[in-house]
Amino acid sequence: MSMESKIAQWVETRLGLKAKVLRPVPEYSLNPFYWLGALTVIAFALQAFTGLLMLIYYVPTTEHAYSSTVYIIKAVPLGWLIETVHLYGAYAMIFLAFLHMFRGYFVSVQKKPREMMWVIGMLMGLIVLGFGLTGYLLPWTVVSKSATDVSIGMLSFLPAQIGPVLTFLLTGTGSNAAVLSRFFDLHIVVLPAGLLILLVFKMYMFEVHGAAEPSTGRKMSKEIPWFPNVFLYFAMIGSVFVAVVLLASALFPLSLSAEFSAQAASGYVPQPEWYFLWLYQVLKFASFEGEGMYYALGGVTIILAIFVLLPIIDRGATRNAASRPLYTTIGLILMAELVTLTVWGYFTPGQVIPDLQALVVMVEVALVIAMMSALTYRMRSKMRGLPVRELGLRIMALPFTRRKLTAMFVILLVVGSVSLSILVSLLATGSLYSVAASVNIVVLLSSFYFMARILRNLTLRQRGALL
Amino acid sequence: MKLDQEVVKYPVGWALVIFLVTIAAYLWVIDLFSLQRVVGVLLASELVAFAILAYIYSKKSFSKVSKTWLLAGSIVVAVLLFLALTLATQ
Repeated sequence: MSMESKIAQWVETRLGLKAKVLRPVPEYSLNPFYWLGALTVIAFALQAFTGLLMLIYYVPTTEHAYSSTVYIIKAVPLGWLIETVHLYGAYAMIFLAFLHMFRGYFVSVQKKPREMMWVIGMLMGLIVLGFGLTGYLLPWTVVSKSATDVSIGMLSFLPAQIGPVLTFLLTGTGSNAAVLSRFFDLHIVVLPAGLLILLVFKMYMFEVHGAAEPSTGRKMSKEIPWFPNVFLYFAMIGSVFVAVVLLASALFPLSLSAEFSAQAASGYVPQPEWYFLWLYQVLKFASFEGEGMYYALGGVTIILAIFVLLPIIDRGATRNAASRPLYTTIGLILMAELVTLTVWGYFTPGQVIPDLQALVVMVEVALVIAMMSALTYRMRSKMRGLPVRELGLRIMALPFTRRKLTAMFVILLVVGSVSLSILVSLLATGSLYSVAASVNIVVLLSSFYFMARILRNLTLRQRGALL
Repeated sequence: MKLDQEVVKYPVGWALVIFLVTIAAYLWVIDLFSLQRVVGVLLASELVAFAILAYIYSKKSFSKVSKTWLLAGSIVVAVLLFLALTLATQ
């Protein structure tokens, strides 16, 4: 018997890992996309570990929050590495939670019998965002405090039935000390406890229902035992994930901004972290300034509620994205709008966005995605019968086999993008009715038209080459 | 001569284990205050090496281990070691 076998047998005899601790998983689920939720849990464990280490030195009072954070970074061995890993771990956790949600949406994991798993997952996602909101304040920098003040200010626009209660729960008496204390308690006790309870429920349901079958309708493949195969796979992707977070932390260390003071905050334009930039950008639209914020927050709440209650709304039996053009297109538009708003918000801190400009950008993004989606579905319906993989490979090869058309498409894309950016800046300055704006509208629409023609030529009229 | 796949598996596995132990021992003696970036990169290399080890042992036989992935993982570990060395000498 080899040395490894002896070690494995020794461990197995003591720990009994081969007993059915967790259910076996189908072979097809050994794919990173099936493990986005598990990676989010690993990120949470990493946050808990680094958070506990920081807790040894961090003092949650307005007098010492900043100085204790600086002490951790400058005087504690491995202090800034732990602090940076905690920051990037939080980013990774939020990013993975978003990815996990959208992946689940596109493959319809919310269908019977996993409806409650979806609802609980969405609640867990909201808690993850809560972690971001509450944790951001704790270093007590001018950046974090100013952004948190904006978030707290939004609470006053909530309906009278919940606004005051939520404000009291989050801010207590409203003093700086009370806000910091409440956010600290929420961050290290209430939210972790809530997340853990929901995680237990979700894991239990996962054990009952197992991983969702592929939405393309592939039959069940052979099952892989949890130990050692699945455990080793989990250890492998988990290690790589933590390695990436560590490497990012080592290469791009955290830099702390100045301590919060009323004077420092007066000259600072508050801007939230990247995961709330989309909301921040929506609230900067001219119509949503002041009292208009009711409508913006109401709209966002309705979209969130629709997502949470998706299993009740989308009750069709089909799970394959290829057969659900409406839901798939809506999901793609939402993703594109989120990315657009986030990038846009990053580059326009504190600027109020004119309504017309906001409308043009939002509608344009939605239209482009809808057109692309419609084209893809139409093309697919023409080429039914060809295996998806084969079809994908042939489509990817098209730009190389039709080089002249591809070059023309790229030129038109550049021309269209330039005229769009000029048009957006003209809208920002209110010069919509100028000659330059008219010329740019014509150029933009022409480039759109010709790009559509080329796409049509590359796809539908080239069926001979494809089939 | 084609080597027996299972004969190759053990030296590769043990080489990775020795690498893990060596780096861990080095991390034990390194100055954790002034070389924090080096510690971060070395820990990342440890985790990648551990991931390779987990990958090798997750397959039933060494013949099913993708040599491309193995090579890619080894290159990543080498690059991380080089990066750690660069950061340590800065």
